[in-house]
Amino acid sequence: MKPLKAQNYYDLLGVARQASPEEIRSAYEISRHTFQENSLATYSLFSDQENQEILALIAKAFETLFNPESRRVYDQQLRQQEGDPPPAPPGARPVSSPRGNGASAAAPLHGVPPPPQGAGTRVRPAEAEGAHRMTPPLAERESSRPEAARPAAAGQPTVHSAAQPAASASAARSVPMPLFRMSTPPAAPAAAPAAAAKLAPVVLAPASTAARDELLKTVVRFDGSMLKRMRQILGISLEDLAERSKIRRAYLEYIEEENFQFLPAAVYVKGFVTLMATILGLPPQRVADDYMQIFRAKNP
Amino acid sequence: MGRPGIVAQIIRDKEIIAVGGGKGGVGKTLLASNLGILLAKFGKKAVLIDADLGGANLHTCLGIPTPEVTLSDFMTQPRMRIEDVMLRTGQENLFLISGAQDILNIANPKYSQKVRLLRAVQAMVANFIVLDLGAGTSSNTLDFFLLADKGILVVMPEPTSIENAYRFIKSAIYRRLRSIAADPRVRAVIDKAMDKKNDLGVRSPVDLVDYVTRMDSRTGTAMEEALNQFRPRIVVNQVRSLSDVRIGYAMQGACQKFFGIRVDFIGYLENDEQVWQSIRKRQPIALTQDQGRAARNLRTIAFNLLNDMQLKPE
Repeated sequence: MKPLKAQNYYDLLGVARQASPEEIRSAYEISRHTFQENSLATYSLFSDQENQEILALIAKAFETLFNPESRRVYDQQLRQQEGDPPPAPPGARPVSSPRGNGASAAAPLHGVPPPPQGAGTRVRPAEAEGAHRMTPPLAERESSRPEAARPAAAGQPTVHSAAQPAASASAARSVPMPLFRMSTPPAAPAAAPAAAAKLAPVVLAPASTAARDELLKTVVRFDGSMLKRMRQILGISLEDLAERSKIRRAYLEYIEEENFQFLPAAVYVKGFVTLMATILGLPPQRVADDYMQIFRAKNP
Repeated sequence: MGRPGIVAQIIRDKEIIAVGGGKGGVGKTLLASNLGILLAKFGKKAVLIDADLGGANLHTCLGIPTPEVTLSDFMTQPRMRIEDVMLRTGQENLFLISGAQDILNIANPKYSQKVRLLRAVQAMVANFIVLDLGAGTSSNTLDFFLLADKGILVVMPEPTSIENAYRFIKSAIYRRLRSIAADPRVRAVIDKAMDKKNDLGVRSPVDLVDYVTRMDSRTGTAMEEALNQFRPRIVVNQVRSLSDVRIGYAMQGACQKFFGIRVDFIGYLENDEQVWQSIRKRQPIALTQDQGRAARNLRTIAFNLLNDMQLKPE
């Protein structure tokens, strides 16, 4: 087992190199659950901030491996790194080694972002920067050089301390839940499970989650139409949501249209809206409370 | 070339399994006794050893009256062999070495007594030896755990139990790493690192190995190797819901990232009326039942343990 900073995306998710997209997804769900707030399994080991950082790493790993194209590119890089361990490929050497001393033999593999399609091993500086924002605080914890153990202020390389504020800023925000949209039209219900494995996800543009967060500030009450707006802002179709939540598309539509007479008992509806809220990145408790109030009022 | 091959095969066909977990009352004895029964049912010679030196009650779980010879006889009488305190159980292939009843003498054995016991267990002829460990993280308990080929931690889905399990894992790792270090300076570092708030910047075993590698690269490499081989199993007991099951997977991931070790979540036991009844009646599930959830849970655990597998996420 390698230390966290040397773990590649497969190690991070705990899946085999040949894992299927479905296995990757289920491993991701488990990992995400593991590092959630108040998780029984982690509260005594990691601080909240560390949890957030790990969550961010896991999300990155998932996004890269779940998309066949970025996975192919990443696999290629991985093979190159393993082929000739000491000299990493030119572009893959982190711009700013979080350790600062360059003593580590293994370059942190998850610090290497997937390059744009067809660009070989070259990494655009902007992307490298983005990926590294996740790593410094963790790397700092891991790096056990006695002098490095002091808070970052004590004479660390400038690159490191420059990256630090950015990291804490990104950790303070809640980690964006990677939502995905199927790139091919949904298959017929019967064929869905088989087809699901082949569908390639498109990771949501940050712009759409920003728009959601903006709208979130103005919400008075989460009713059906608000849930629908949120979904549309994120660019998720009813089919996508049905696929991801495993709730029948018709029910999702009834919930949005508030067609209560077609919906099952309240306890199920509550479960449905909670799950929808979680997937859409909305506060589940509040959504459920608001929605169920409407549901009960019209459905005594 | 027949003989050496046969000998090698006999030696390889032996596995020592330890069942621990840090906290008391989480189901260690329950799991150990049922595992022993299942393994014996496979037609292999299985020996259950009650290594809970302070509070032995494995015989009770098996429905056997208080035994006349126990581990304490072996430990206090230098000429006795461990086979002399081995008891038949009602079941074919299954043997029991009962724990000490007189707590005063044996709960804290002398170093020489302990070494003799550990050696005897290692030399014992059996296909499976299942050690039922006591609660806590005393050095005796840890040494039994580290002696085993496979160590299982039983946890319940509650904060105290999980915290204790982590403490157990950490203590076991550090004790193992300490046994590798000959240099007193390295030992001092390990002792210091045990304290969470140490000023070395060592928070996890991975940090520690890093630190030691810089002091002495050969010891560091040996420690890294030991860390790679340390692979405890986890069983979650008294599971009431799917989210309780997920705790097993979550601990697997958390240990990988925090301790830098591989942990295998091998199964769970549902909170089942049958289990409770079986304890009350002193009739182990594995002995009386082939059907039912509890029996199925136990078979899954045994299967994953023997085949070095993890529980598959559903």
